[in-house]
Amino acid sequence: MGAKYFGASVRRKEDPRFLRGEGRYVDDIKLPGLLHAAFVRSPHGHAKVLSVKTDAARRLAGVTHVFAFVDLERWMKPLPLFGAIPPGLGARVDVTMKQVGQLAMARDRVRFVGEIVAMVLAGSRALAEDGCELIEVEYEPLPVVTDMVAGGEPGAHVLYPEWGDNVAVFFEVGFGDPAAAFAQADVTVRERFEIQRYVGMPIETRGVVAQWDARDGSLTTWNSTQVVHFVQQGLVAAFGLPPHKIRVIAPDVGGGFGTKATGYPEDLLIPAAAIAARRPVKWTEDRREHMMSAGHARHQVHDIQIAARRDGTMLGVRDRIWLDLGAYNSWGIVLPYNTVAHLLGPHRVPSLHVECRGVVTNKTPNAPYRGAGRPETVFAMDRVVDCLARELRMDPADLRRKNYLTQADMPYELGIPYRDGNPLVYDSGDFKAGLEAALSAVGYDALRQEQASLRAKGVHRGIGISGYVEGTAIGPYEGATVRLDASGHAVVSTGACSQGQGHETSFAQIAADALGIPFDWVTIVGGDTAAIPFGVGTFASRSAVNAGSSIHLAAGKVRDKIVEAAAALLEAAPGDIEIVDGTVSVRGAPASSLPVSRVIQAAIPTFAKPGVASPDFEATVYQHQPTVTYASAVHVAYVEVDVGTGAVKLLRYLVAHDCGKVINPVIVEGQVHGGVAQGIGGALLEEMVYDDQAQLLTGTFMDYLVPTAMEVPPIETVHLEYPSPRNTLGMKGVGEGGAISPPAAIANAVEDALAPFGVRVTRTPLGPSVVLGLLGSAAEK
Amino acid sequence: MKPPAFEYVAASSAADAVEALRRYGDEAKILAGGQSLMPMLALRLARPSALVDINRCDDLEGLAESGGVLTVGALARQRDIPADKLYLAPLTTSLESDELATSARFQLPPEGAGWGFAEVARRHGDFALVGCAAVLALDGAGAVSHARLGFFGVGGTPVRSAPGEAALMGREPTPARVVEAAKAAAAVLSPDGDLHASADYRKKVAATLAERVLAAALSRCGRAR
Repeated sequence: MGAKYFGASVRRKEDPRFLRGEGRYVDDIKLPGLLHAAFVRSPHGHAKVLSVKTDAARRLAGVTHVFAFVDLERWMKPLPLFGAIPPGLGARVDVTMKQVGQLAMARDRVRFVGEIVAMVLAGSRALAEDGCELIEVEYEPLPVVTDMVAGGEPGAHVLYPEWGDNVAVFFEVGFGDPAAAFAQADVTVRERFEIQRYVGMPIETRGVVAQWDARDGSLTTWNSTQVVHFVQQGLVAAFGLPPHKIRVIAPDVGGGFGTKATGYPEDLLIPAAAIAARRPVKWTEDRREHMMSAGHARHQVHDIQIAARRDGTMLGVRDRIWLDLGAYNSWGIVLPYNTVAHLLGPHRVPSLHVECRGVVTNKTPNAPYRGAGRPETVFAMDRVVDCLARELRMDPADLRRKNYLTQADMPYELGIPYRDGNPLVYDSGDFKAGLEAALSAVGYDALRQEQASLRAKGVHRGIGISGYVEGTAIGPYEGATVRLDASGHAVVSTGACSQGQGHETSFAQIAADALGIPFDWVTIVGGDTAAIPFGVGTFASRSAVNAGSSIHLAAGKVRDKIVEAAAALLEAAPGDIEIVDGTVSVRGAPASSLPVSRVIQAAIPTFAKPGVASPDFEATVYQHQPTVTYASAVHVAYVEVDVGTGAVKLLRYLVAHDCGKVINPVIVEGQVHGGVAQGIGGALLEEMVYDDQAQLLTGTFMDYLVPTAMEVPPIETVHLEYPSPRNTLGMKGVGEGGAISPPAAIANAVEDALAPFGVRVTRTPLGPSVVLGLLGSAAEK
Repeated sequence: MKPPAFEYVAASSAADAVEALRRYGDEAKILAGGQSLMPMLALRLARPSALVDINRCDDLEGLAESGGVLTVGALARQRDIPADKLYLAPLTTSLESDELATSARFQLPPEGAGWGFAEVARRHGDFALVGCAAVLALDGAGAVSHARLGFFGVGGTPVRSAPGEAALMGREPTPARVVEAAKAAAAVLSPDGDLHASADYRKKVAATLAERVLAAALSRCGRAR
């Protein structure tokens, strides 16, 4: 295969329509007779629902339908659960897990502020909201659980009386001999870190439109989701219809970040309302609803210890981890085990022991958010590594140099299984080379000199380093169908849905190369269950590898069919047929050239003769990806802290990363930049705050602060390419990486800047009030 | 997040707007930029029965200077309210339900005055956690002849600092005196804490910023001739 497009910064196909405002999102779907839905949501963190009175709402002019649980009971199956324990993992790790599926509408108990209790349909959203105000719900408030550590102890109030406690996931895992490592160590450091609750905040909120077609008993639903096939499976289970009668379409989607990759009550409630009302129904999540009911993320506590020799050689790590799962354990093993599997990252650590608890609390249920356990665990590890460096009086860069794995160590087996049950084996990369590339590109030595000279003048700057290794592209598959039309143009259908990542471009680059046709001839269709019957979806940095591999292989099969047909048509040997830029020719006989379309037309039977081949120039591949492939990066942050106000200014941010073979460098940089921006939010700004009554205090953008362009410095990027041996094209995932290291890198930089004051950073976000508080408490010591 | 139903009145002049306000009594709100009002409506925290839109009131536009006073808005004067009597609390003023703020008038600083401004915000453009502004002028002998020092973000209203100004007026603004003035100014503040900053933070940083803005104002001062 000639790689004409793979590796080139081809302009994004989707951008013209977005730039001209010609995209089509769920809220742009307009249907005749459309009704608008609004929801009554629980104002209590934990309560029994005693009664729901809907009469007044039903009588309001403009309101057409009101639904409480009893009105939709026949369809109220628990929402789909994720994160079952794969056999390979269960065989190695003894996991205790409790999972109860959330009901789309609360029956008799609510467990977080924002849980849906009733739904109103009306001719407009405003009228539907008027209707909601007339619904009277009688609650009996129950004691709440807001602290994951205390809530995980015996005797805490429980969310699920049948469980007896709030620990929904528990396991211990490790390798080597941690007891010996800690006994032999010259130095041990222990610290407790907390990563705050922060969330994916897509510009486009969620939204669902549904239409029931009584003619053939089929349902079509448009959903701003990353996982159309998962949504379809949930609807199949609830409505008892065959999958082909339920079409789920994700049109243009304005950001997902994992927040849109989970199962939501509205996925079911809006279609149920459309079926019950026999009219199309729309719901567009407003920002307040998004804040309180779209998946939350991140909140963890780590009580971590590290053991090392005097020269910095790491000997062992122990960690006790708590995850605040929110009110429903929808994601099972995923977040807890991701956290554990990514703890050690690029470091060579010969022994490990981890005890991990996922605890349910009266807060919005968690869903994986860009990084999904990795930013949290990397924060704990990179912070404790910096604490160790301070203890050893060693430069944090040198301590990492001493312990980072190199290419000579690959493949490197960690001694625990990955979340998919396969052995956790780093397949490729050179983490130390990545570190050196980052330090050299940022000019580390010069920054240290600058830091020292400015410190003498009362200007406090700091440098922070963080490195991660990320299992990307989790399988088990994503399929692709590649089909040529009569003109030789290709339609590629895949279960991977785009939320802005540029699939229509990257996938077209792969397909065009494999087919030998121009890039512009390829149309990518994702996010439509009618286009391909099986799919997983876009999350977990998985689509380039999973869908890309299937597209590459399927396109290769189609190309083989053209070659065979052309060989028959041109009376040449298949081995002599070339396809370049949509033109077929016989090697060494340029006069024989034909457009691909001629070959296709020659395959269509006529009255005179059969075709030279079957005209279905089409192939489908569901390439199996048994396990992940490892991407990695080193981030360096350079900050200035105003010790009079606690304000942190991010001066520079650099990323040296390996995502294997790069399909499109500009798209990859865009992914890195977006991830870093969200990581900066986590480091400095964003936090979902609950009070001790489980009331959400951050319900608007005045309380929950996302970074703007003004808070994000230019991001410097160094691309390293260590091809993955685990797929044909050598790719690794890059969607999440940017978001993983910024909290750790920036926290390390802030602590470094404040080293003369003896400050220790144990928590993010580092707002000015927090930083000044750290300075104050350090001064008191 | 859609507002409940309300009447909409497009006023064509200040008098027209006031007439509409009278008609609806307490139930009407003025719609100017809508920056605070629209979110309040969308969240259904405000439920006025009418919005009186003053965007088409030509007589409320303008910018003029006269006799050392800068007037923003209408020149026609109805009732004057000093700033420290206008602001009562966040989103609350001393205006009656049938009153409309038609203009704001600012005393221009004396010639040769210097200014300083500093704020700490979580993000660029956010409401300040703490902010401070100062204008100082010096007389021929180098003593402070004009002092204005104000804080924002430290309470429900902007706060002009009488003790801070008094500590400098008529005196030579030595570095030690500036520090003293900043401390005196911050000492009497009683800010609230919120999600973004503690009360203690605001008080501490108010002193820091006051010191910085006073120093900046001094550095910009020209001597009076």
